[in-house]
Amino acid sequence: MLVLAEKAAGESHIQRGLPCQDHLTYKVSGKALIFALADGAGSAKEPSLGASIASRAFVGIGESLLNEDPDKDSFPKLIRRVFQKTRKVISRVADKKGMFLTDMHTTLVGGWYHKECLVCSGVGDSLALVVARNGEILLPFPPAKGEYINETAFITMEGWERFLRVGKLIYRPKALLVFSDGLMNIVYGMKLQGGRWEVLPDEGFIRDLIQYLRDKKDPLALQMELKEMLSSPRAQRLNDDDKSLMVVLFDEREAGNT
Amino acid sequence: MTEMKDLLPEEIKYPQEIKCPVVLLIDTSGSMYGEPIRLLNDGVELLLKELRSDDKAKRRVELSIIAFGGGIKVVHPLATVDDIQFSPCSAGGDTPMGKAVMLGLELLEETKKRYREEGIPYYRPWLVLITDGYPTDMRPQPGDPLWQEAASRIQDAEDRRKALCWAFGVEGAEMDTLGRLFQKGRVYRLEGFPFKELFMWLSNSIGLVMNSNPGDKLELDKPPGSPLTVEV
Repeated sequence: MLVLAEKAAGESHIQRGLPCQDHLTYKVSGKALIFALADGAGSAKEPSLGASIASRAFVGIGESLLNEDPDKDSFPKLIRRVFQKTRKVISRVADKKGMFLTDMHTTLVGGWYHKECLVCSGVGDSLALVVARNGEILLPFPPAKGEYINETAFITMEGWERFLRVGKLIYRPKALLVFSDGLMNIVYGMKLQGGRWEVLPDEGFIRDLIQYLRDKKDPLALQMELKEMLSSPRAQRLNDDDKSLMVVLFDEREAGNT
Repeated sequence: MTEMKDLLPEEIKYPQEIKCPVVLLIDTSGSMYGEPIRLLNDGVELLLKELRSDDKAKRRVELSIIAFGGGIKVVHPLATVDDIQFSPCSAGGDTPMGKAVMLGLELLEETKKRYREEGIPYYRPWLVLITDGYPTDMRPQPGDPLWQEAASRIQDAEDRRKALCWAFGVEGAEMDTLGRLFQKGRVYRLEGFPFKELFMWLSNSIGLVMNSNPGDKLELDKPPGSPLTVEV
């Protein structure tokens, strides 16, 4: 398994002297992978703290759960439980610090790959795309966008579970991309149709990227290039928001088409 | 030799033309005659000039100007600022503020419906009312049907996040009534007729919205004037 994950502050935040408020955490344990991406809300008091706690808690709780060796059919139900427990962790930290939960507003996408099955879910506008065994690019869960373009949901808000989108199990995927909304216009586009948001993956870019990773093979060099790509002027022109991207090749030894 | 960053798309494949609808309700009743209406007209011109100078605002803002003074006049229907030819307003007549508020809110709902049908993403709309008086088509009493309707529509717009509703009372405005009408909105008392400052603030605030990302903190500058605290 090849896992690359990087982030870069967006131009819009750099200009305002704000750090990147995305937090990406993952853990590889044998053939299993647990991952989480949280994007802190700039409108909150401690967005970076909220995002950091959310992503680390998700991975920690997810790992404990997988150590109990659950049946893969139970993954969609279990992932909801992990989100619930993650929220409780954020809430406890907020209480300890004398803060409100809303002071740590953050989105969260999280999931795992275990027993050759992938499950992921999300609250907010970060997304995931999966390359299936047959090469098709799938959206494991639908996007959640509010009525207004600049609004989203947070795991830390009241009634958050209404906004949790739980994905179906995907068996033996080839590749996974998990990314914050700063990758819009890079990994994907969005279109409003009939009042609903449609995610339009940039299939050309995704397939080229995956092939590039397969061809190059040096994880350290690839990690640096990923960072460089996310920070590049061209990436900033396409989207000036913070960018986080995790790319996973589940069997990088496989050659051929994605 | 190809590097990873060379794989990035050259241009935005699915550009989104996002819209920000703004309805400006301006009091052009008889009491605005003379210097106030002149300053108001200059202020609107300034707003248009400022929005035209911001590349994003120029494309995204759709502005409608509705005057209420001796009747309701749609000075300009919703349009991008480049398409607006503003004819200065004249002052006269009474102050049908209730009907203006209803028309403004209806226009915003119709606009959002159109955007949804056409697949156009949008920001939360703005309704901005400027007055130097009090409504003559309704009184702030429970038995007044227009008052009840207008006040509840504004409250609903704020409660259900349908629109951001702002009210600015310049010299002579009956602030108590304004505060009751926009009780869940944003109500400010201005000394004199500082329309230039008001429209500069409006243009800057809209610009900030244009440049925001989801979850961002929108630190709008404090509007001119003193906020009104309402005891309900």
